[in-house]
Amino acid sequence: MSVGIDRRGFLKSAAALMGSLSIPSFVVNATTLPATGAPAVPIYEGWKDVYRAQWSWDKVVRSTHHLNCWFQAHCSWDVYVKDGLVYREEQAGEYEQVNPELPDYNPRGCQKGGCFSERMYDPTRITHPMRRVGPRGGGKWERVSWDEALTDIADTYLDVTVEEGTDRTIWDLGPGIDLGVSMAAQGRFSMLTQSIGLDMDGEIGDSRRGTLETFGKITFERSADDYFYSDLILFWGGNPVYTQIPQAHFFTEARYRGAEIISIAPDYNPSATKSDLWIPIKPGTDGALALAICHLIVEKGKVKEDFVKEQTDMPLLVRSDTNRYLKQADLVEGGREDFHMLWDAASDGLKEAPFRSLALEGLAPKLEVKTTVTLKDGQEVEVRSVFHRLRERLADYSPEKATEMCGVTPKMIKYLANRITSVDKVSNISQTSMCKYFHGNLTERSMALIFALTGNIGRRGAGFSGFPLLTPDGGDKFILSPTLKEVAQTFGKLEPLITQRLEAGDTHEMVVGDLGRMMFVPGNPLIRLPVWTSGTLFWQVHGGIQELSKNADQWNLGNARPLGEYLTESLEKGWQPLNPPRDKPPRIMISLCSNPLRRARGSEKLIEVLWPKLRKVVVMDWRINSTGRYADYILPVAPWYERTSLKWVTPLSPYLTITDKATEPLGESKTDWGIIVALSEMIQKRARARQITTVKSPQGLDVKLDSLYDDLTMQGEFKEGDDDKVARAIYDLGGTHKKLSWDELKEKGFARFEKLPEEPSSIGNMCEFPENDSIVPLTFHVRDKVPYPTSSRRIQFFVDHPFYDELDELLPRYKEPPMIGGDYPLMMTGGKTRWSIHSTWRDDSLMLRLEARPEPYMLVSMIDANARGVGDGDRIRVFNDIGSFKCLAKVSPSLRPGQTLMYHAWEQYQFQGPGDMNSVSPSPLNPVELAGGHPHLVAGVLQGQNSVFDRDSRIDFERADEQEVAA
Amino acid sequence: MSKRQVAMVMDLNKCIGCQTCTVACKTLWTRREGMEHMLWNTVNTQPGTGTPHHFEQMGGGFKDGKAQPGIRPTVEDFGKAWEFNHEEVFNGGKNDISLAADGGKYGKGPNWDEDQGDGQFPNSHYFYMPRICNHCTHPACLEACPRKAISKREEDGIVLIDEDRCKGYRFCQEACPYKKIYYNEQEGVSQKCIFCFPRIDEGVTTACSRQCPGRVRFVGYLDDPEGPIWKLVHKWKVALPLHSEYGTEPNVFYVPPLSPPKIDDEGNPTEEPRIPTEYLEYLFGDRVKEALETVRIEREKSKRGEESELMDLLIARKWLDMFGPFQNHPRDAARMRPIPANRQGFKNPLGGNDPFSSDEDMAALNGGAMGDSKPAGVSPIKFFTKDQYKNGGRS
Repeated sequence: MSVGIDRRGFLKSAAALMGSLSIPSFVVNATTLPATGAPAVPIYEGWKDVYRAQWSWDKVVRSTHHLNCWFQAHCSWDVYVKDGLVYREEQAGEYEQVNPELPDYNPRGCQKGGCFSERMYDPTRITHPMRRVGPRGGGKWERVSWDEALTDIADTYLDVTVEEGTDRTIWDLGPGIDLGVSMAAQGRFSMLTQSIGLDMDGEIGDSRRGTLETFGKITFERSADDYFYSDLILFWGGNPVYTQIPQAHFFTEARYRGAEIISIAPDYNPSATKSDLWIPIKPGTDGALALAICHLIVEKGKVKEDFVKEQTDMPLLVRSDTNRYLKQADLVEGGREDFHMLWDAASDGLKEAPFRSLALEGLAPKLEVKTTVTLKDGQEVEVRSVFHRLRERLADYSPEKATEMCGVTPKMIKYLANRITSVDKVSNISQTSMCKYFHGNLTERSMALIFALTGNIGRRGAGFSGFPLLTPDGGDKFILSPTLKEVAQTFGKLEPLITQRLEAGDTHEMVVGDLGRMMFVPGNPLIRLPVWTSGTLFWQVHGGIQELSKNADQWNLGNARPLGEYLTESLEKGWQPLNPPRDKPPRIMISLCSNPLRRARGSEKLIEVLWPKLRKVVVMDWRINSTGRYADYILPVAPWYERTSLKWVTPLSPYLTITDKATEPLGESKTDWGIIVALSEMIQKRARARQITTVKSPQGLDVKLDSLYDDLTMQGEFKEGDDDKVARAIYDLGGTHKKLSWDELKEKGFARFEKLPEEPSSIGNMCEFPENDSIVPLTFHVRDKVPYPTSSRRIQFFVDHPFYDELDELLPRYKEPPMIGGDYPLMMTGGKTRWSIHSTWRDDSLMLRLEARPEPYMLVSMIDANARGVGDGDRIRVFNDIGSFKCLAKVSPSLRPGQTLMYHAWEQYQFQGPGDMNSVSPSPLNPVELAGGHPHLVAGVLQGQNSVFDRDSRIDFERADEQEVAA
Repeated sequence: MSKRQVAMVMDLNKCIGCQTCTVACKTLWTRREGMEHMLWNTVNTQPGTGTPHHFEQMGGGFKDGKAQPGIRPTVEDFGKAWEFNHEEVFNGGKNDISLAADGGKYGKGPNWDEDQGDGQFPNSHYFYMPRICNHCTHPACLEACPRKAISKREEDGIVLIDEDRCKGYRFCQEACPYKKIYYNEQEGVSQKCIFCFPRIDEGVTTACSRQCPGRVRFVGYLDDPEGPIWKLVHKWKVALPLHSEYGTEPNVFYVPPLSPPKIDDEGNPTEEPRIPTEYLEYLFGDRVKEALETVRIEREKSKRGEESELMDLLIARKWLDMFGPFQNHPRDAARMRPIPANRQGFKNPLGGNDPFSSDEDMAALNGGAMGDSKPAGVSPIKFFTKDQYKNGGRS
């Protein structure tokens, strides 16, 4: 959208305005500018003209920054253009008030977005294809033409694909993927070529495993303004003052509305400063505190029984002999394996739990059950309700016992439990922190238990926060259909399957979720899909990161067997996806909005183990980053102000927010769409020249290399440069927005979601998107009684999988933090930085200048610093059995003794000497995450896969040899 | 005396220290050469040394109506704009090179004690405090200027340095007790926050207030009984000036911060807020307790579901209500006035179709992997300086 009339148009209309407005006097002279060449400078009349001229521009375009701000995504900005360049940006500030009770969403934005106009022209920007000169990582580049670069990449791609297979080309899809125009190109490329995309959700530490275990999904979150209705907000596992800058005002304003904020964190972090009470806790022990609160809720009779009986698995019966749910199939011949049993107090007997709906329909489930039942073979077995088992489990977590584990006093625990049970609406801000602890799944389950026991789920102002994601749902249709005319036909093939499942009592959510899971099992005969695989397992197995955990059995992980056995079992049973398989090395890696050498825990291993296997490392980006430094080719991508696209957001800010091209791509930059289309064109051209036609994928699908471009572009319908057209098509194919046309949306910049997307990564929200009210996830379950997508069809605290049985995680429990990296006294914790979105601004000069230090630093407690003779600003060496790195020490009175903290995303090259903050984080696999072959513990889009754990890496530090004091 | 006074209230309970205000100001106003180190808007963690470092010990202002001697802060006190070696890292042919500020020999930056605060675990404490020029009713800078280059605008009391009159003597820097005046060596003049007068003149609130995602800043006339400023400062008396003892009658006011209670030796909460009241009194004077108590009482009312004008004001359900009469959209302001050309012969480095486009241009603009570095902190967008104006666009 362009508000600006061009400059000459402005000048013409200026004459009409003269005299009627207070206009700086120099403007008069501007009307006399010559028509050609560089215009003359207006005559100087006074110093104020200098400033007035600075606040002037040629046009304004509504746009945003489509990177992975995740919890903070996205904000609508006006981009101010002068002389063909973006010179500044300012928030649009035009979000309508949702209703008069709620604060509006304005203005959103943050300091990073506020200086992208500088960032995009700074020395990190790439404007033409670059090819490595000399060894990888040698820091020498030559400029090459697109033709040269793409020919070389295409020829290598054809060699690899023909000689070794279609699954040797890897798309390293970073968290910046848009599920919009950029992914439309990559998705179609992968769908057609069966090349592999890495699902990064677990690999970036966002698995939310305990949430998956409990709810059968991870993506559900409220709108940020819904927190305004809460009575009590727990900042527990999140630091929204850093990580939710655009919407943090809802929390501070909720306090003025009457809400209380309690912060639970090891350190007095920036969000704790906005609380009414800060409860310090030993890092990694939050599960013990949560269970102690549950203990008190049960002990004091504060359980919301109606909620628990209807919405959770607590009344369901579990066999004591097998540690599995009692099923109808256990009891009667021909009984169903998916029918769970409960004890009905009304009839005083066994009944099937409701299946198609959660509604109890006259049943009166007993919560406290321990009895004996007769199985179909006449065997008598003891069964107990989940609630009975839980109550027994909770006996281990009296406040007095819990205080030993978590360091919170019994009095404080009781106070907290009392606050939670004495108000109507409790919510939490728990982002993706807990799941970066090795036993974070148990912590999340324990926290969810608090919310379930007190019925604080699925109500306005009350709820357990899942993982936020909200995606327009037209992208899949664009990606999967041969042409736009064939959308109905393509998806029509799924109809019989969908109908059959719905008739059998499965929910729409379950079916959509399962369609997403098909991406991880390539070659299905029903519908041709792109291939995704577990990013974590890819880096662990093909990237060699698993070598770092060879001594994991000494780290007190609590495993019953050597770690490798679980992995082998999982892969052999096909429980978790890994493509290409173990014995087939990857050959080409194309990084798209990704920076794995910055991100992957233990990433130095990748250079050692993965890189030699790769014949081409191609990085697509608008800037050089840690991974780009080790690439063979860097292909210049147009940043967000130079392209038109749409992207996922989150329910926290439920507005689809677009980018619109404000200026042409700088130099030879192209959009992601443009690059992938150009690559496919070159592959097709080279295939034809080399007389290569069709190859088979390992699963037997035909991959037509000599028509790749034609097929990807829908027979030329969507070509390079057609980003706007693609975005429009995706928008029109989707069902989430009907009020505005694509052109109107571009004009406005944002549009509120109107309905729940029918899309695997977002459907978990399971709620309406009302125009005039806040968004409350899970209402379809809680209000409308639609079953949850778990094996028990309820919020599930008993996890019925053999790995969980083996590791004593059938029920929530507390496990003490392991000693990852060796027996060292300090725990390395972390968090997202205020100063960058991942690494995108991490080396930005202005952001570095405004941060505490312009290079990596670790926050350490005064006591730990003193004990090691380290002062503030000293350079320290941080080490454990795995590795070491150097950084500055920042001695903070807010850090808990025993805890260290390093905010993330420093680039490798920002560390002095070898090593970086990932060098001490081996991140061993957690066996429970290798589970599969289960209704809801299975790999799906952005969930159900292995994740990474760095929060409880054990370390120590000492003064670095060469003593340098920065200041 | 000006006829009216425009003023700002900053609610420190809502400030999250994100510095979007700092960046908003920086990208709009201080990108010319000589302005690299300038941050007319700063945010600092308190207790802390502030920006410039230790400004509270640098003197200036008035005592009993008498001007006090002051120290002129150096660029280092403010925090220099460091230069980084991106070019060397990306394209220098070295594998083991690290990115470094000023070759690793850098001084303190403007936010050096970010999140540091004071106290001891678990009773540490800190909060964020943004600062701009206070546009004082009794500006020490104005009195100190021998050139009479500093004036208060008649219509709204904005304090401006006339850069045509200013000869760079910098007595203003010494006199300002808040040390919010910078010196531009390139242009030979003192410069500071202009309260976004080109915006204010068009009914658009300041960049720092409009761009603040925390919704911290209220803007309006001090004497407007319908506006938020008068209500917060005069009616509810919850917004207080910083260091009023400096005697300049500042027109920026702060709602002092609440803080969670201290924790006793056993690990249980006390009744005592962790930010020492004495420290808040040091900053905001002896009405702090009263202001905090008013906020507490009104919050309790709100908790009970009762109406509270004060809470409604601070919540600001309609964002634009925070800006009194300055609610125009900046984009619409642009529609209302013609735009001076500002090319100065600067070549458009875009695309192959542009006759000016060349590798050289792109490299100069880009300073990227294949180009030369440009000075840190200087915008690729060419802004007129005063002299360039006078010389018809030639430097």
